[in-house]
Amino acid sequence: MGKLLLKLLRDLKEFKGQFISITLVIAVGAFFFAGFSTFSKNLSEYSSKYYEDSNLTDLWVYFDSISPEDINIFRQIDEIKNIEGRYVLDVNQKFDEVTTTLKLHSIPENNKINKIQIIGGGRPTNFQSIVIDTDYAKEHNFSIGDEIEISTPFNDILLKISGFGESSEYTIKSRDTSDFPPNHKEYGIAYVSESTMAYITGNNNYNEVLIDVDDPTDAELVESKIIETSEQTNFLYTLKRDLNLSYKQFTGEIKQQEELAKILPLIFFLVAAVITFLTVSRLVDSQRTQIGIMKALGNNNLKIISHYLGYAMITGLVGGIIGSVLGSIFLPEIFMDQVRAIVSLPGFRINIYYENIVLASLFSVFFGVISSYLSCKKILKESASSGMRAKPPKEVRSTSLEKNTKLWEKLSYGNKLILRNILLNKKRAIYSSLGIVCCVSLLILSFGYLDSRELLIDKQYNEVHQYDLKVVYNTPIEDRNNLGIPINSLYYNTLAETNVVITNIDEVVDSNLIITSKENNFINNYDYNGTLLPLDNQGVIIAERFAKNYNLSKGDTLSLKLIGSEYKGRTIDVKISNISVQYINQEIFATPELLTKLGVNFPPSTLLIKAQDSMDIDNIYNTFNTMNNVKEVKSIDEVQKITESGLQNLFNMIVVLIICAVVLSSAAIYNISIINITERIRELATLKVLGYHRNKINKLIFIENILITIFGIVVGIPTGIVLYISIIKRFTLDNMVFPIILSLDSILFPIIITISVTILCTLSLRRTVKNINMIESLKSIE
Amino acid sequence: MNKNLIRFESVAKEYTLGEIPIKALVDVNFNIDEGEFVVIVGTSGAGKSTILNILGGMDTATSGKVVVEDKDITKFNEKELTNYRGEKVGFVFQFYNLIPNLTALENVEFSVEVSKNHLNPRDILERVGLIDRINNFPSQLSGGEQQRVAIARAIAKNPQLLLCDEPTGALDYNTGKSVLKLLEDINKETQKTIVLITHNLAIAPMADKVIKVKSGTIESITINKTKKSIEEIDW
Repeated sequence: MGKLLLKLLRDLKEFKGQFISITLVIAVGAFFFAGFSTFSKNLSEYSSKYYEDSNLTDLWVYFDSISPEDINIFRQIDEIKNIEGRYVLDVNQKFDEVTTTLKLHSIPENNKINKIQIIGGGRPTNFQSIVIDTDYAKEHNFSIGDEIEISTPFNDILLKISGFGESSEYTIKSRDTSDFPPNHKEYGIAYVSESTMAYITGNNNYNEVLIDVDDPTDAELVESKIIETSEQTNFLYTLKRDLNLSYKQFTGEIKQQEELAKILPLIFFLVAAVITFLTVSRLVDSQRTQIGIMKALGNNNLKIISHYLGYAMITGLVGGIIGSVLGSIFLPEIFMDQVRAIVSLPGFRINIYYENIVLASLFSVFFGVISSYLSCKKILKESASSGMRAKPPKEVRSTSLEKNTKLWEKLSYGNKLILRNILLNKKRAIYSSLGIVCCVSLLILSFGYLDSRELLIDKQYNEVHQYDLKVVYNTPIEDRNNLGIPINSLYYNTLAETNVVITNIDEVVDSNLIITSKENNFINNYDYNGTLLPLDNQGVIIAERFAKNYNLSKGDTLSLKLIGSEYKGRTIDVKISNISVQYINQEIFATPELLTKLGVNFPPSTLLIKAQDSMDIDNIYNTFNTMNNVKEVKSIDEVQKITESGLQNLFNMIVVLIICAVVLSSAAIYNISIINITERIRELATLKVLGYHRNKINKLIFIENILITIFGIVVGIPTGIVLYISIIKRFTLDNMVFPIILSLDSILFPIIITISVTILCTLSLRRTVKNINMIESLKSIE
Repeated sequence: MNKNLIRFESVAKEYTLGEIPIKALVDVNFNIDEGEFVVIVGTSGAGKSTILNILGGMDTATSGKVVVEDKDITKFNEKELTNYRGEKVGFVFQFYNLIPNLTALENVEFSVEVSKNHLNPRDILERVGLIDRINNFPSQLSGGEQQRVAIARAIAKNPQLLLCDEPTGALDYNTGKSVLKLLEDINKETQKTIVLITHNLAIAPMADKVIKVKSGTIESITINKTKKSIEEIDW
């Protein structure tokens, strides 16, 4: 075996270009495989530990108000391990340029459920001290010891920052589904002691109860028992852990990563396997006589086959280890930029899992070994003597194309040569174009993704939302003429927003109900064809994704439980009159008339404003921002910027994908061309001897590669479109829908890139052609 | 006396194989006239192929002059050499070297693309006796037939010079003989200069001139006053 190993190493050296390119493709496959698995494993391990350590609650129970004594009735339920009450309310903080919202929680001294993780400073144990989340603190440059003034519906109060913290309850700090990606500047999470909260609200009561059950599978049972027990109290509704907004979004994202981790690496491994197959086939073919000799010398098949599998093992191991190590280190980093923009994960560090590296390397070797086994098993069946004889010439027939004599006659001999070469080696031509097909598909996916992202932003902020500013008042607007709206410089519409819980579908889901008049054309609903869907007084409009998730269609009835103490847990039944595409967030739209008919009244508290002259937006913003009764002013440009930056990081991912696609297609084209040249070296040398100029020979190879490339592109475009659509559909976040759209550019760029790669590869082969020794043609067939 | 076509003047060729310099040709001198049938004989490794490679413009001499039609081809650049091979020289190889993906006719037609002054491919194939097989691919032809196509391909370009490297090396006795007969006839009919390499001294009497090569040098140059037809030679 020692000498065979030596031969193996010398062969590797001789065909180094080919083996390097195979190693490269394998490395890319292993890169994605190890990168994706490491990333998703990191996230899921981190998150389960985070949720466990912080003891994320199993059940949230909402009340209008409940006294600490009253929550004791729940302690009778056997399955409950811990129970904790708290008061939660939104408070505001005014800055010169913006009014922000903090979700303020009371937190007991002996905090056991939803434990907050203190990042700096200390817990808010002192009276009038506050802990705020790290992102909000960073946005506003707060440091420990700073005093902040907040205004609550009850009073204004000065609080001292005792520390910064994070909670597993708010890994994604969105106010509601419409606030995505989270805007850390305008929305934060904060905690105060129970005594501070009592000072704010004026009593010790809670409005939320957190339930920690012994066995999480009992959550449902506990939920029904609680609903039973709470009859007498002013109970509102309950929410299970998997319906919690941030939990749902975060775990959903982890699942998507796991999906991608399955698809992408497979593509690369398959291409690597095909290229390995072709290269080892070629090697085995060219060493046919050597194999015959080895057999004649008494080597058994096992020894010979393990020798040729050695090539795949070496390339697989080298590529697999390099790729998976790089992938484990860099890919999660690239993804984490994207994740960190949305999710707060205190103390998250990327671990490298050696088992992923081992697994990726095993996969790489496996694909290579299988393909090289396939490529040499045929030759082993031959007897030693026939192996030593030259291979019988390949049967050459007239190709089907020649039946169309007119067209055939017109072709030059060079072109005839190319076409026959392709048509007679159909299998190889198809294999070679596989690399191109994958390259084009990945490029279409990448560019399509960029298109989707752009269209999402364009649709959301130019078609769906057509206002410039959103002004939210502290209290419902009684008389709009008294508000001091600078009526001459703007147009406005009013709306009311409220939280509702939908109770008549598979799960209890909370949603946002937006009540606005039919005439409000600042928020528009469209269907997939782009037709405007007007509101009517007969029913509500819901989001298409929502409808799909819960199997709802036009005409179905939804039961909406109104959250808000004034409605006393009332439920209204509404019909679905339309279903609209909602790119960001999922809301329910209704008219005031519809609700009045049902006997509920929602006075508007929000203005949507469009400036008559867009130059005035800043002035109008300032006018409203300084008004006392205004809770917050949101500029749509600001919201758009946050959405854009939230999606910006996807860009890194796309760049990685594009680079890998290019590596893939270059390796494929380079390798196939080299094989093509070495296989026909006598033919090409003869052409040289016959007086063919090098350019003409280069042209032959070039045209052949271009034809293969074009074939690959023709197949790759529909494949790419299918890949793009299926990935975009899988990649849809809970509150973000990527519109499926492919611009002409997204088809053209992949074509241009692929053809350029082919041209560059072919140019790089000119030297190989130049180095073909003419005397080669005089030698006998090996 | 015919006009001089080729002159080798003190031609030397050195290779370096790794670090070892190998002298393939040392001070080779000879003349070939137009219309001559020349046989170069020698054992393997003697240097006869090197002479043919240099003469065919496939390889270059290390020193000395190779004059063809009053032009020194050792001074040619790559493009000129390619044109020289395309226009002036026809090659016949030991292993035919036909393009497997082209039919007999197409192989001939393909090769005349690079020559301005070429002959009609169909006529030539008729001349070599293959008019019935012109639409067959090389793999459908016997060795002798393939070599005939190769000869047709070489002469269809209407070259000055036909270079044949062991053209019968891969053929059986009778087929080989008929191929040599074809070359002899072509030489007679068209007055084309033919240089044929062989290790088979027996066929030397069919040549006008016999150049014997040994260890990179010319051992002897013999002019056959009366040459024999190939049909009279046996070996």
